Amino acid sequence: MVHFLLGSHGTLASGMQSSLNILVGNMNNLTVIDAYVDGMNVTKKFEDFFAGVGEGEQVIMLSDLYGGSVNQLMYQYLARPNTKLISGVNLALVLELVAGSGTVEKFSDETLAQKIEEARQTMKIVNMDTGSTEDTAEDFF
Amino acid sequence: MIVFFRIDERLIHGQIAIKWSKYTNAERIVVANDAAAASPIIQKSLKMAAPAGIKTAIKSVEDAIKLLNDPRGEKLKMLVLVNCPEDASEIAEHVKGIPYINIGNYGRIAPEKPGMPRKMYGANIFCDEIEVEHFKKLLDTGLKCIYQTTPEAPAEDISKVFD
Repeated sequence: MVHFLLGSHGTLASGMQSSLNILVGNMNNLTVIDAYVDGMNVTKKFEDFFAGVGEGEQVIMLSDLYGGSVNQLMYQYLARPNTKLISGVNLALVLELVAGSGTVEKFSDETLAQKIEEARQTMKIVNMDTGSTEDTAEDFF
Repeated sequence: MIVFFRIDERLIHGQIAIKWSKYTNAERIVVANDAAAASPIIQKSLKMAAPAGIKTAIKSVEDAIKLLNDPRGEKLKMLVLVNCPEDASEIAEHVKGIPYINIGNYGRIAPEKPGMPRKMYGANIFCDEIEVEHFKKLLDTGLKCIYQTTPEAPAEDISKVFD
């Protein structure tokens, strides 16, 4: 099983989790860390998470911001085998990864890169399409 | 062939694109909705929400019935979406082969009628008295009507939801 650790400054991480719950239901392989919103030590939250993961299991860490302090904390855990870090995630990527992880044992770097690219493509200026909406039955069948 | 028939006031959205279309292996999506069919803007926004690779038709209820009765559809796995129980009843009356009616989300987008507040019947079902009657009428079609938001969520018979 792949474990996801989504971390953010403030409650973005649990907010994304809330969005995921609405879109795809509760995912038990996603752990979130809202850093700096309570008195709890952030490093302790990381330690607790990693203590609960089996040795051979893959961990994919997802951070809100490249270069941010949560990302820096996560960076230190890259020394653990089978551990990946993706920074600056958007909801589309988290959704695609977590919802698509059901039967996956391990994501390859190649797969991750492809999913990142697809999610990146969804961040764009949405223009009003002025083309025709005519559909013929021939197009449909 | 209709593999999935859903009442969802949001029509095509995340739960459909990510979950149900995959869960049901749908190859086509048919949105049956008069307002959407009449508005190019709604049509385009719905097509934007449709999963890549699945052809989507947005039709009036009347035209959707024609499309669903086209014999060329027999070999295609089709997912049908309406946004209200009345449209579901109308289609069920004229189209054979609906496996059952799934009810996903209802009652948080359409404005309330004056003096008729909606009541909550489930985490994602809000109805006024008239709407409850429309849902109950669905049972007259003889089809099973199941309230289930996502494939992983618990399924509940609609008659129990409005008990």
